[in-house]
Amino acid sequence: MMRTVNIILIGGMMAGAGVVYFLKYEAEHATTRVAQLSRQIQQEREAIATLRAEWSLLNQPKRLQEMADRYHTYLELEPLDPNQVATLDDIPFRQVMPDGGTAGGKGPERLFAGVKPIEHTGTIKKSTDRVGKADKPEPKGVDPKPNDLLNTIIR
Amino acid sequence: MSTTMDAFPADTFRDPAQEATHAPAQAPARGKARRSATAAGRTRVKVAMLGFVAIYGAIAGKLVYLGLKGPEHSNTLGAAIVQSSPRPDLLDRNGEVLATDIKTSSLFAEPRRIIDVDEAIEALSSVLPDMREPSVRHKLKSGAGFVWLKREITPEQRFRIHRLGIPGIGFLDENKRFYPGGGMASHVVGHVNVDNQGIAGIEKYIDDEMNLNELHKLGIVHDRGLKPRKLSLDLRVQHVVRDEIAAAKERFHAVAAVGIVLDVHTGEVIAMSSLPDYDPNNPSEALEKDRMNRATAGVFEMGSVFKTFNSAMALDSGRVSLNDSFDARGGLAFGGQRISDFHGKNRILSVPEIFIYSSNIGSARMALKVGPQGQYDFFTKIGFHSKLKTELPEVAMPLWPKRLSEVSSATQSFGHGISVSPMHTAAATIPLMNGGKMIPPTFFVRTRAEADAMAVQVVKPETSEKMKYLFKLNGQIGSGTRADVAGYRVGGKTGTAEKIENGRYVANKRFNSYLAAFPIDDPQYVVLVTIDEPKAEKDVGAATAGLNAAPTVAAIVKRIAPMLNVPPRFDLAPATLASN
Repeated sequence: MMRTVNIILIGGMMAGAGVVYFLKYEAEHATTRVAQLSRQIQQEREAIATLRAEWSLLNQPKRLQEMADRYHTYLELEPLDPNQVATLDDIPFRQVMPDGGTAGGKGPERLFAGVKPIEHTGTIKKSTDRVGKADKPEPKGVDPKPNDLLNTIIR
Repeated sequence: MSTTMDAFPADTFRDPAQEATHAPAQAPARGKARRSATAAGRTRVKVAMLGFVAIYGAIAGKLVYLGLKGPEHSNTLGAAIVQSSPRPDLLDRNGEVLATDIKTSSLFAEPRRIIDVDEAIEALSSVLPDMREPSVRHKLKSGAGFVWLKREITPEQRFRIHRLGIPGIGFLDENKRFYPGGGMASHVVGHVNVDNQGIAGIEKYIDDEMNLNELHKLGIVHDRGLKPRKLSLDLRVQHVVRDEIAAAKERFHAVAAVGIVLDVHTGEVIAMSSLPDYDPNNPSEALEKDRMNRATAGVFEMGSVFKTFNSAMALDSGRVSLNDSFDARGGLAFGGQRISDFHGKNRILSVPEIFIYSSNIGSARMALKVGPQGQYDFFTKIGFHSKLKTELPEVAMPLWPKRLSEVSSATQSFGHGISVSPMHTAAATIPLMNGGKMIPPTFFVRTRAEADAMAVQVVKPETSEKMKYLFKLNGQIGSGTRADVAGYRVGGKTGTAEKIENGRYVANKRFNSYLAAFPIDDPQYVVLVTIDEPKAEKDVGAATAGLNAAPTVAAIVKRIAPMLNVPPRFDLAPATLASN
């Protein structure tokens, strides 16, 4: 009886020692990995900080203005005029043509030919407001953050 | 039981009970001694047990302690020595970087440990061509323990040199403050010294506020917990203001220029630029002459823009109404001194006319009606008799006559004899445009609720309404017409002050300014532009504020209004001069 107990205890002890050794090596391995990862995180942080600084350097309004000036004629860029600022309320619906809008026309007119306007008065804003009440479009995803922009640059 | 017993020699395991049965004939005295011996044995066992319990208990306790302590990070491997303390990033109100820390590496060598100097130089020069210089060879052959090879190399160079694996070559990392905008907002952001400690501007303020210097002295250097600080500046607006005042400074050959944009409802400084400025990446420039911060650390006689505060004072006192008229004929004599008008109308002028024609005589008469004490109290209320309460350390004390008198009161009514900083002037305009609430200007983001909590009512809301009318009138039919931008309704007051040289006012050296608010029917922003010593353009006769400061304001507003979400409107009735 005592003997079996002792054998069991000795076996248990040896098993315990084995497990402890195993755990110790596991823990050592994990510690190395943690140190490695935290070093890597630190490096990434520094890289992000550097890239962020570079990004803001490239994005300086002064630099953008110089570029806009340089490519002014090629890109046909002009400063915004107060007359160009409008709200949706200021945009009226397209007028219906006397012959029902099917006449040929040019460009966008032909594109919309045959499309019947929903109503003849009112503005786009009012119409979108009404649509908005019926089913509100769910906002998809999240706005791109500077980090995402940086990531695209890194890659 | 018996088999177990056989396993042990009988005499090594003495059961007291068995012994008692096997030797019943033994003397009772011996039995007694035996009994006491077994008792002693028991005590020994107990002591031994206690000893083991104590030892194992100690081990278990230590294990628990180690377990609770958590893993100790062995980061030292490969981590470099950081010599300067990290600082929080400074961001503008939209999150754009104004100042940030970047890690720079410096290359050093331990010549004693270099095996082959020629090979090392050959390898190094593949990345850094200037390593071929004879001085480098000399350094490496010197046999010294430590020499710097190059300070502040780029991360890429560092990586490439690291990959070469030259023995005896190493890097030291340092935090270095970097300002991507250069001089863009230098007078607001400030700069740091070589140890990364803030010595000017907001950099100094956050050091004082967070006791960073104390931490640095104690040797505590850690990256955690340094949250970026958000400033009230809008980088885009800041750029526009700086760009436009730089253009004006060049066009009118001025010596200096200042541009300020304040939020009327929160007191936030949206933009503040003072030219000439400096690049905080090269802090020694800051010490050069003329590069001081004129917006908050310089005081000037602001001239006619003070008629704004004079009118507000007179209207707020209740002794003067918009329909009152004052005699602006001839001049106003005080003993030997005489006040006269620049564009004299030589007739009786109403209060709005005094404002739009910028009559010195009329303004002086309005001030006299309120009295020197009333003027003194009003100027105290709007902050002209104290240092500006804001975060920036560089603020100047205004200068004003220490003795109350009618003549000094009269000259102060049109901005002479009292010197304040441009920021003082812009901040004092806030209550005149927002319904009477004085809010100290701030360089950090502030919500409207926070601003309302600290606001002090300094003028009546009606006075604010009347001031908006006067600004609007002057912007549409007065001296400020060149500041108006179609759709954005800019109203304001011009100021053309003569500068003092050797104690005398000099006619051809001027300090011009335009103090404006837009959109004037519901003001959101105060804009102040000052141009120091502008010269007249060739085909234009004079160098008055209406011809240089006002168009600069127009150019600024035209560009910043869309950024600040001010919608243009073209359907508002023009202001008319109420005839009396």
